[in-house]
Amino acid sequence: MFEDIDPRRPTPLWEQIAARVRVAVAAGELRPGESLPSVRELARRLRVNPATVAQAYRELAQEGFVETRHGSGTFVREVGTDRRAEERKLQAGELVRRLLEEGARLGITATELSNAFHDEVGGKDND
Amino acid sequence: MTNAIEIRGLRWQPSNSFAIRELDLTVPAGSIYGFLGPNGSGKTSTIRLLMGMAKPAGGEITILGGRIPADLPGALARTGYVPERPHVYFGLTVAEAMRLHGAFYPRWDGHWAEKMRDFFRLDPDQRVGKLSKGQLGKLVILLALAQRPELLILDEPTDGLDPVVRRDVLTAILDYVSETGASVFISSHLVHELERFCDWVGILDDGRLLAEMPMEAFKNEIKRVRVVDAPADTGPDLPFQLLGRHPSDGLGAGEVWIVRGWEDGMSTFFTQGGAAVRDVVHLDLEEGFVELLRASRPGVWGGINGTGLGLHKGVGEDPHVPDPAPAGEGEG
Amino acid sequence: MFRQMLFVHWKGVRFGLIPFILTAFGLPLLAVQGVTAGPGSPEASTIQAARLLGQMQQWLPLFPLLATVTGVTLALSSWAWDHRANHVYALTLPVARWEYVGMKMAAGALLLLLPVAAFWIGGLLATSALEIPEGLRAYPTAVAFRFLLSALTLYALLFSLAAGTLRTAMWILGGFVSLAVLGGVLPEFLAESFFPALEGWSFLDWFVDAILEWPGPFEVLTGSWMLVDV
Repeated sequence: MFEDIDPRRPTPLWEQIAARVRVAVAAGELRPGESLPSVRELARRLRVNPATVAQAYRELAQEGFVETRHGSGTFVREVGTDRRAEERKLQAGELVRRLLEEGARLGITATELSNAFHDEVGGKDND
Repeated sequence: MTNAIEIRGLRWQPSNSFAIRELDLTVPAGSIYGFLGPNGSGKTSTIRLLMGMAKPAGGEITILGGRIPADLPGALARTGYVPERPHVYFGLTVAEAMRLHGAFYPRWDGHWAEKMRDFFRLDPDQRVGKLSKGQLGKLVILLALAQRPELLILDEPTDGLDPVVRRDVLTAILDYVSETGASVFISSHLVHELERFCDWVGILDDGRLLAEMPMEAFKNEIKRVRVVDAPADTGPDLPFQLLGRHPSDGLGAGEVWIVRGWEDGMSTFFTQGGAAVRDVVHLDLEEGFVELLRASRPGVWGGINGTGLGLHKGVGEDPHVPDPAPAGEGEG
Repeated sequence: MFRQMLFVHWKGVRFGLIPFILTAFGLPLLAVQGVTAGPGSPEASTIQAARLLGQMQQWLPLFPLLATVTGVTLALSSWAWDHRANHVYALTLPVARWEYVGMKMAAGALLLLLPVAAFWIGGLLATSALEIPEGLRAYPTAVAFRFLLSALTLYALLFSLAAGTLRTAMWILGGFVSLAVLGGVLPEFLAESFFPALEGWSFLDWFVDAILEWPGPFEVLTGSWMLVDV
């Protein structure tokens, strides 16, 4: 699930981890009550500083996505449909922003991108 | 005790060609501190001075609250050390080497040492001299960890090891740190590895510390700014620190400026001079490290006063600095 | 801690030490070879005694030589492994330097008892197999004790030298050589120009005498090594 955590990106690692969990929860990939790997386990798996994982979990807990039960671990909380939709909207916006930045760098306008988008989506519908 | 390691004003001059002058370095307790620097920058020398193996000309060194060399044995008892070259006796077997090591450290955990030995798949009756490089690398980290130290000082512990062994070694270190909150001071060339798990970074070049700050801060510290119609003369009042500028090779016209301390909104500096900022490129740890080094070596590619226009020195001339990625690459 | 150091020390020096243990055992036995116990007539006994003493004197130089070489070899091999491992252990183990070196030296000294014991046992066996003629006595224990002291002296002297780098060793040896040369030349020069009383005095002779005669450190080597004597 965390394969694309990349320290080379400008986003701090803890933020990348937290974002991934948020998306997973929003998309239903992670269900309420499911347990996340322990700080130690995840740090080991991703080969990152355990403090980084701890920070990600803290952030998620503060936002209400997870809760940490002392001794038993970190669990996904029940997140309302509204909240999930909101999260998805945020993620979509993030993706579009990245796309636009990339395009700007290559000299491709927003209109061209929009057209390409519709072609792609439209093309898929026709398949 | 707030700092695992404190170095203040360290001075050392082993020869005419190399010196450590007024080095200040701090490793906060519980942090994983990555010590970066090209070959010959003095990383191993600094570590040797830390461990009391060499005598500095001046300055203070404090490890875990104890002064070096006054409290040396006390500090060493709580420090796990992996030197650049293996220090175990080649004539002993793995089991004998472990027993010898364990006899000297009060907090040695023999039971856990054996578990690690099995995890690393080391044969206890195998002679140390007959171990492969990877196995030796695993053995020395095992010895350092089984001491249950409060601080780990690791001098390129994964150097020359294959990726599988590297992962095993790093996993063992991370596991230990998760469990105990020990501090780690690790020097390495493998920048990408350090980037993942260090929360502090110190960059050494030619005996001087060029930068020391939290890892996340450093990753945002240095950026490449692509500028078109840039003024030839920058003037003295720059809102950021200019490390160097050179013509942008590859796509796009204009120049690439390497800046330190860039903040959003600084593009106005350019626009009011008739120039424009095409793009601000984030640099990862390795690229930031390379740019910082380049800037600190006058004469190679512009330097701090930057007249890189047209003077494009071949990067191959400096053996320490690898070829840069062409300007404009990287994620922004 | 010391137990481990002793074990490791043994592992480090054993290949060098074992031949010396065997030699130390064998040498006294060889020394008494060929001297048979003759019939009990007084003349035969005198001839016997003369022959025995003669043989003892022949073997005389070998005992101190063995003791010296044993001590030196043990000193050098004590540090062989540390040199290979760049002395990192010695410098980074959590014990004071002097403590580490002290333990190492003690470990080596203990191991030195092995060839000494072998020599002693060999001597006892050799002299008990002999029928000592009247007027002579056997001194296996005394000679073994001399062996112990000689080997220990050489070991102790070379121990610190062996710990250093080759460069340090060269400096120290160079120092000694210059001292010897200077000691030979300087007194003459001084005698000529300033101190006529020094005429004919050799620093080298004086120095050699000082260390070889009691209470000099090398007296053990030059004393009596006769296994059987009057």
